[in-house]
Amino acid sequence: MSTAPFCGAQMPSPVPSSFDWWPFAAAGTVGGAAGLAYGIAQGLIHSLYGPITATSAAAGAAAIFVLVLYYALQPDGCIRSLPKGETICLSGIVQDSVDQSSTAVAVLAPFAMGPAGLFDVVVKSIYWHYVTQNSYWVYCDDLGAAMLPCIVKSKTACGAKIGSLIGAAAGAVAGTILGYLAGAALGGALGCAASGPFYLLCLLLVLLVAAIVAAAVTYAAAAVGGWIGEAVASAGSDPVGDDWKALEPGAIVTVKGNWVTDPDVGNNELFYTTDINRTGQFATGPSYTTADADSTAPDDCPVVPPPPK
Amino acid sequence: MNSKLCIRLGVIAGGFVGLILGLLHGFVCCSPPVPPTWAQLAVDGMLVALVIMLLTTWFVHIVTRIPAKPLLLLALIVGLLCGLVLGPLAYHLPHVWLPTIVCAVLGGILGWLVCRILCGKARAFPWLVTP
Repeated sequence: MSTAPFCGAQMPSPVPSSFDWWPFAAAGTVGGAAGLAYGIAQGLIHSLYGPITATSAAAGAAAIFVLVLYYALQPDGCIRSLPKGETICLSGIVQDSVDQSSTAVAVLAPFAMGPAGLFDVVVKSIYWHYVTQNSYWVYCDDLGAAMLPCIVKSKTACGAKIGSLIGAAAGAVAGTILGYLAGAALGGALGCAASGPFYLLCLLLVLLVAAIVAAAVTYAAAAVGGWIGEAVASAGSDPVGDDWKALEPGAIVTVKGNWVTDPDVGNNELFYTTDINRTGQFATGPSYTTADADSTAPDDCPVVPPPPK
Repeated sequence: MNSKLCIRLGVIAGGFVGLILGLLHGFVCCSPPVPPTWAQLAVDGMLVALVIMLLTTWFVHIVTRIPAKPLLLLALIVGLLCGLVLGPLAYHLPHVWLPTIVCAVLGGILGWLVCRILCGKARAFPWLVTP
């Protein structure tokens, strides 16, 4: 048996994070879209500030589309594949289970839906290496027993993301047109050309209104598309999700899943859990020790020796 | 310490200030033309940043469940700084895409600096710290 893992930080430095290139790529995309839209608008609209109003509307719509695209392209097995890990099997006692679903997100931002939830397993000592190997952080319960978080995939998130992406694409076109019309109407009502020293401020308000209206229409279309996607994806069975919902603290389980290291915190985890087999219920609680986990019946996971140190 | 949030807020604020103020490039009021002052452009930049940061805070709060008040405070600091500094710059840059990209990059740097200066080791914003 290897030595017991110590809880918390495992290395002197925090988990190294790669450069966050996403916001810069998004800014480049929106900037490029705005440049393209400006060129097109100059050819189509022959008024003083018509082209900049249309460009502002297009940029507002593009910003929301890029936002939806950002969530759709997360490596969660929906459009992009999961982070490449190793399929492992381990056993232990469920310490707690957390429902991570949010009604607010499902309704207001369905494209940003994350996992359905997670449960922490106090692992048997023969599986300690799954908690510690290459990790930057080890989660423990109140009694200092090492735990492995097991994340459960949301059944509807994938449908919501694809639906939102389609909705945002359609909404961006409508949003750009409506945003331009709203901006032009406001510009006409305010009479920016005759506003003297407030000329720039007047134009600024027109551009902001055009961008916000276009963004709002695109966002609404993305939300509606997401709801439709959620409804479509909710049909059919979800064996892992059903097993997870039935789990209670103290459940003795054998779990399988894709073993990876969390890129933000640096802990090892199952992302996602692919199989939950409940084999019993531990009598005492509310916290469990590794000795408690070791005292449960042998599991049917293949024996994998820990790597040499 | 995770400065991702500050950088992203800076990129969003800077990008939009660059885009909207960049669209106004070349527009001047009155006859004979009177170029806008630095202060006018800074106020315009801060106005754009304020609107964008309010909307961004609303979205980030819903999705990440970060407490709204400190998040809004951080977003306003980053946004107003970006508007103040980048508004005049964006107005003077030609084309539309150039101020958007330049100001987004500079906004990201400003956001990162705000985190470095204000948060230190994130004592003031403990939710930014990984456990």
